[in-house]
Amino acid sequence: MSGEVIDPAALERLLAAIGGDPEDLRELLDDFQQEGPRALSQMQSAAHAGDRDALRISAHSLKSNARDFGATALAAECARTEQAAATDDLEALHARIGVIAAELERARTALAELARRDE
Amino acid sequence: MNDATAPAAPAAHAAPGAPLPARVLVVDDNAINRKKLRIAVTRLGHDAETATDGREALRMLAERSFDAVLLDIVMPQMDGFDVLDRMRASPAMRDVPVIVVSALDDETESVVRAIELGAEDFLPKSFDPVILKARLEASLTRKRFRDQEKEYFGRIERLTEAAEKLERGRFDPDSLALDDLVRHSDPLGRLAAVFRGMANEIYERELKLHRAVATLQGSFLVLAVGLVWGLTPALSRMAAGLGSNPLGLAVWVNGIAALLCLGIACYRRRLPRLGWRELRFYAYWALIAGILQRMTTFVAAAHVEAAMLSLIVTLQGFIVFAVAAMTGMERADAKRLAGLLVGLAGVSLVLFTRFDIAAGAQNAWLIFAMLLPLLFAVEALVLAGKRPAQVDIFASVGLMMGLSAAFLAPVAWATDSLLPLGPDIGRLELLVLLMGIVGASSLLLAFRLVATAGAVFYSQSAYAMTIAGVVWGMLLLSEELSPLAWLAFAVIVLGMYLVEPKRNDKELVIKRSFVR
Repeated sequence: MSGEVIDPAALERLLAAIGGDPEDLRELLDDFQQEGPRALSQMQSAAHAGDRDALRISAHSLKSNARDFGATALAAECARTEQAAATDDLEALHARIGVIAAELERARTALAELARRDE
Repeated sequence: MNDATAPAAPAAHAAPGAPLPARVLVVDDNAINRKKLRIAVTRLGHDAETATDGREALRMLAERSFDAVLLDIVMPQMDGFDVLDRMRASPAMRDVPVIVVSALDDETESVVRAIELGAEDFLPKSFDPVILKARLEASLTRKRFRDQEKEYFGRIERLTEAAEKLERGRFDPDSLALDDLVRHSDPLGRLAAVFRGMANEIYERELKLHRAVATLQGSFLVLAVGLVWGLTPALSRMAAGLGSNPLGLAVWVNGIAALLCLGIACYRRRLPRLGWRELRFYAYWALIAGILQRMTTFVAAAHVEAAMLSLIVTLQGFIVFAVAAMTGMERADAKRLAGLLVGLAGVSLVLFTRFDIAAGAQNAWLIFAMLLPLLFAVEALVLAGKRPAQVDIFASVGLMMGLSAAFLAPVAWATDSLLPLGPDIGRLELLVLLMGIVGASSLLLAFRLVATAGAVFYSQSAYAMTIAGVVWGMLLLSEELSPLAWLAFAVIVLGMYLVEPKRNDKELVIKRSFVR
């Protein structure tokens, strides 16, 4: 199941980029478990406040993390939201955030699974 | 390019091929991206610091120096573009290379804009470490090169400034201030070394020439002072032969000298306005030079043989030298002391061969006579150190002479020693006038000598005075002039060469004929 959610090539690229130490990678994965939900709640409150710029920026931020960890579907949804933040009506944006929340959960579970397996 | 002797070489001087760890600032609002970049940069061997937004980044850039910045573009409040804008506006941050970090797919426009705003390069978000290394090193190398260029231009500017100083005639190595430039071992450092070396050579040569001229001028003045002053005893003896007494003569001579000097000062419109401090100075001087010296000479001359007295007077040079050494007023080294001793030898040469010194006087009177060189020394030192500099030289001598005449007149009156002169102009009147002129001019010369050559050099005039006294005596009283006297003169001149006038602390400015 994790194979569908997470692109292993992306994780390898990330590992190479940070110099190849799996410890460092594990630390980043832990960070993502914390930071992912935080980015999501930022998007939600931005959408509630109607702050489109804040929504765009937090979508952009989560997108880059999702790409790094190979969460392809999450990244794609974030990218779409980032682009639509300025134009779509708020209701549609709320719906997108709902999709992002689901994708984030899938990605976190998959990544946690991967981390456990590596140990 | 620097060897180990180069002091505190900054990063800009690092040898190529072995880059020093650079200080890299990572700016990203996203904690994970920040950490990712920090780890990647640290793995490449550099020091990484992080800022969570644009404001913090600018603050850190202002506080510390960084060699490169990895900058995220999309950030809340102050984004990467704003940071670039501010950095380019600041002279301190302008030269720090910035690499923008961006996802390439949908941010091409942003990268273009960032580079237009002065970013050096860009790095994709999902970067390969080899690419990070290549882009970072390229930026750092350019920065090092720019730093080196700046440092080089700075040194060229300093060298140009030194050349301009040279053109204004200031060759003193201290004022050229090239010491740290010379320590660099690159071509510019060598140029600075050659430049300073040549300037130094010219300066030393000019300084030597300057000193030689000063010694020559000083020696001439010493001989002139000695010759003029040495005239006094012979003239006094002639005046005594015409029925005068020393005290009455002194009142007239000093009074005439005062009138002459004050007349000249008046003609030159240099009559000074005097305060109490100046008046007190001239009163003391009159007391020491005009009265105590004269009285001591008078009393000592009666009890001590003339040649012995002359020899004792020459001791003033050593007294002045000792005081100069103790107070640091003037240079006091072995060479100058040797010069004074040579001069003393010259004087002794004449006196010992001409007179029987052993038959001189009783010991108590010899000790009393020692007062005389002491008084001369005090006068020389006071003239060198305490004279009110703003008062004209003629007015100064006139005031001193006038005051001493005024002090002596009541004494002369009380002891019935007043000398009636005139109204007919006879031989004595002419003689007294001549003595007044001699007294004034010898003091004026002495004054000039002390001012230009210092007290120690001046005190050698005692030698010249003694010899000149002998010579004048021979000429005026038609005695035979011994060849030994000429030899003594030569020995004294050698002493003057050794003593050398005091050196001027002021920097020598060389007049140049080829200034634009």
